[in-house]
Amino acid sequence: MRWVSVIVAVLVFGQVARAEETSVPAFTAPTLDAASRIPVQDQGRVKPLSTYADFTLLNIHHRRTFALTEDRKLSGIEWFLRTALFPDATANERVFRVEDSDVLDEIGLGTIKRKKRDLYSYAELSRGRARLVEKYLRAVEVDSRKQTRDQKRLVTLAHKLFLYENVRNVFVFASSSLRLIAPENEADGLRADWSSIGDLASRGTVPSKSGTELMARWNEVYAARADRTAMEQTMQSLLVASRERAESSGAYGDIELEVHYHSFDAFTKALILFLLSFVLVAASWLWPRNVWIVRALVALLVTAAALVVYGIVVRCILRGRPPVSTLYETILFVTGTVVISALVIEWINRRRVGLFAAATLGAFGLFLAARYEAIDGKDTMPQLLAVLDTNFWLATHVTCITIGYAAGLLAAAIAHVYVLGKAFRFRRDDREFYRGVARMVYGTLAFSLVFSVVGTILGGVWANESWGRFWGWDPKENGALMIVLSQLAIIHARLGGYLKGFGLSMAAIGSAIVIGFSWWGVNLLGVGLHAYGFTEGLQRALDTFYLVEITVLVFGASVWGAERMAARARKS
Amino acid sequence: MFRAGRVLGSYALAVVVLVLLLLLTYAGTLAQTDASIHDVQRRYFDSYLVVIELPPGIPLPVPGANLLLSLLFVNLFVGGMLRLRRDRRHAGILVIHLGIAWMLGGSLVEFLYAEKGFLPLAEGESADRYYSYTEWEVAILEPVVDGRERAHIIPERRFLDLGSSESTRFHVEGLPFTLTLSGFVPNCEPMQSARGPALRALPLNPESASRNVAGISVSVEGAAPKESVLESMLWGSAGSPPWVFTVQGRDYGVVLRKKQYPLPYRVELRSVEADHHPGTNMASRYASDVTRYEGNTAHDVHISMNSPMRQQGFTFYQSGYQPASAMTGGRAISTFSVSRNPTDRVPLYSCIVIALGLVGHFLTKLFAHARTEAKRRERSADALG
Repeated sequence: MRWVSVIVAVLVFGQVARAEETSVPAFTAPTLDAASRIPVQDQGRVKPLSTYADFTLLNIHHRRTFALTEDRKLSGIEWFLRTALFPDATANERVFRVEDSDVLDEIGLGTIKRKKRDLYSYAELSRGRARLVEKYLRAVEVDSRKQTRDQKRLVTLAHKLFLYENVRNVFVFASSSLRLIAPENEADGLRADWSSIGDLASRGTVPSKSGTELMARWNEVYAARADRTAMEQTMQSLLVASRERAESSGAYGDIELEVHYHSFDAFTKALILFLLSFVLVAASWLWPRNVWIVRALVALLVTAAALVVYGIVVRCILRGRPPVSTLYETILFVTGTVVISALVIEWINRRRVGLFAAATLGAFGLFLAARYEAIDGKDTMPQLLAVLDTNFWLATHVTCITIGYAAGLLAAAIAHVYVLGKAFRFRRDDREFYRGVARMVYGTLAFSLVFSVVGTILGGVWANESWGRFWGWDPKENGALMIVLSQLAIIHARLGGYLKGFGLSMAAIGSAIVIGFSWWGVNLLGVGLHAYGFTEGLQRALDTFYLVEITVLVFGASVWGAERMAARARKS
Repeated sequence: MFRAGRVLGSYALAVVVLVLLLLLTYAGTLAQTDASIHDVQRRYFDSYLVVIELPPGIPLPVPGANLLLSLLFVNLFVGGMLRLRRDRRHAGILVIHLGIAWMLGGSLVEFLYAEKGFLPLAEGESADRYYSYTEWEVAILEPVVDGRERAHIIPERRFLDLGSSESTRFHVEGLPFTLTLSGFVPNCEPMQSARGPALRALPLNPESASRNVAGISVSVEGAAPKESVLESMLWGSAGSPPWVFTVQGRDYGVVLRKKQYPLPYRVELRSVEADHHPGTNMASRYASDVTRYEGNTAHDVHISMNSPMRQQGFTFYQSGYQPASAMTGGRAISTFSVSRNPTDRVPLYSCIVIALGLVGHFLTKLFAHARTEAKRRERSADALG
């Protein structure tokens, strides 16, 4: 009967405690650290509670931290604990970021609208909950590709609300589906279904001894929530009990490594180094003979590249997968490949163009990764579809294609040096410099072609193994083919003498537009087997990229045209 | 003649063809937002000529992929004969182009001779044939001994273009009637009209051509002068029973169905397994256990995603599954993609050849470039020193 008394105590205690919520104390670092490591099963995989908290906050708030006041920023896990343990006191915190406040009119909350893009609290939004749910249920009956803009906004808002409630109701049994309870003594706890606290409390059978103890630990955490010192002890006890239970089924997995991955945050550190490198690149232009600037620059770039590689390797270990299996990972891998390739180019050519490309593209790539993560708002280590469950093809086809993207974009970046350098008369009389840059563009393009061709054909071979057809003219396949065709055309035009340095560079920039379309544009069409990762913000970013590249091409062409006319005029 | 050869093998032609292929591929990709892949493929990529509409409705014929790929193959061959230097430094280029030629040749053979389709099987069910995704046939079913029937096939090309007022007659040797087909509709549904059962034409399915269900009108005229003309409509929905009619005291059937390809063996689905990622509706894996009966022998085979069954030139791929439900009669259903392709492995082998050529040539050029750059730096250092 012991378990009955535990359940009753939690139910009763929980109700009494809610009435007494007033101020919310700050949790200590040991409390947060212990809470971070509690395992939870979400979206098909076991992950640390901090990961779940971070991505939930990212989804709702579009930031990884929540600014409670001007001076106080909450991490994901701290926000999670506050919301779960003090749901009423935190209900007025404006954590919901609504991109278009017009959606509030749809659910009868037009009177609380503020700016177009603003923050709202659960207390405010919950007043329209009934209407939101009603409209949401109608909207999800429509294919997501055919939903109207209003329906998409409603669905997005509803999902945020449900996610928040899943956190808020952790201690309101039967209301939260958060799977915090590992199976006990299962052969494969990572693949088995976990339970929520409510599942364990409401099940008809008697919980086991460890189940009873685990419930007691959760109960103790809740009871101690207003006492910082007691919270440290109870949270640590909860972690120990949760971990033991998960380990009994081999389900604790790589929780510690994942906590380290997120807390170390290699990619943010690398981004900072790339930004510093960019400053040093500028300094090296001002003081070109200062070797110490160059040495510092190389050291920064090598360190940044090592951090990117480290982050990718840790992700491979956590996922048990080759380095690229999602769109987010393509950004990281492309960035790493671009930087390493640029450093190799610099090592061979020593013209500092490689250093410039590494710093610029490294910073840009990691910034893009951070923005993508924020826009997508989802766990970046999702489970894969059945057809993608093949490490061999992920390691070969996907890796080759991504290297092809990276090298093609690097060639285009170096080509910008040529085109803009000529346009702005940088080292105007140094023909050897421009010949060297043109050779870099050509060589990098050839490197890209090797991997693009092999990767594209391997994609067809994979499709043949999976679906029985080598080539189906699917948009993603077409995108890869377009890269191959554009690069083949450039190389053959160069061999035929139709393109020299300037023309080659312009063509390489054009090829970058093709890579942008292949990498991102086809996904945004929403067609075919690769139609995933549909995100409105990405469309805007992609359009901006196209516009910038077309502007460079038009500018370059007009400068070239003007110079040709001037040369003809001088001759005549 | 020599000049024609120089043009056919020129870099200029290669560049033009490659750029046109690039633009065609781009147009075909965008077209898929409004039309099914099958329709776009037929129009843009399985054709020699594509007529695209420029605003405001001006038709412009452009080469289709078949024409461009054929030109590319000729350019590759003639250019290789004229220009390719057969020495060690250019060995990589030769290997690359041979690999590409092999791959293009394999694609042509696949285009002309491959047969692809699907086979849905419920647990416990077996079959010795599979079905085309999009092609139709009309089968006249003649009863023979022991309750079996012989099927006389009218292929799709004989009736695909029949409009509502067009018809074509068929007479099979030995059968006492003439069959007339008319008014083929590529996608339709049955309905009741004032004149009785009819077929309502529907727009073609923009997402998947395989979901279109065709219909056609049929009439039968008996051999004897006094026998009346019998008429009906055939609807190609899976499971639609044949139209049965009697001529000279014997029952015959006629049915519109997806084209069938016979298999040299029978395949029985024993069981389907499917796992989901815990707490989600996303399948993590699904696989089928089948038995293949060849003559007197039976072989148990496990087919899963990325792990097909290959036997006697036919390959079975795990394509989809439906869990057991009331709609499926309480049995899980596994759907296989089936392919018969004489050049099944050519893409893999040609890819290896192309990769070896590319890597070899690239590394040769890279090392040469690195040596050149090192010498340039030495000369610069000497000049400064």
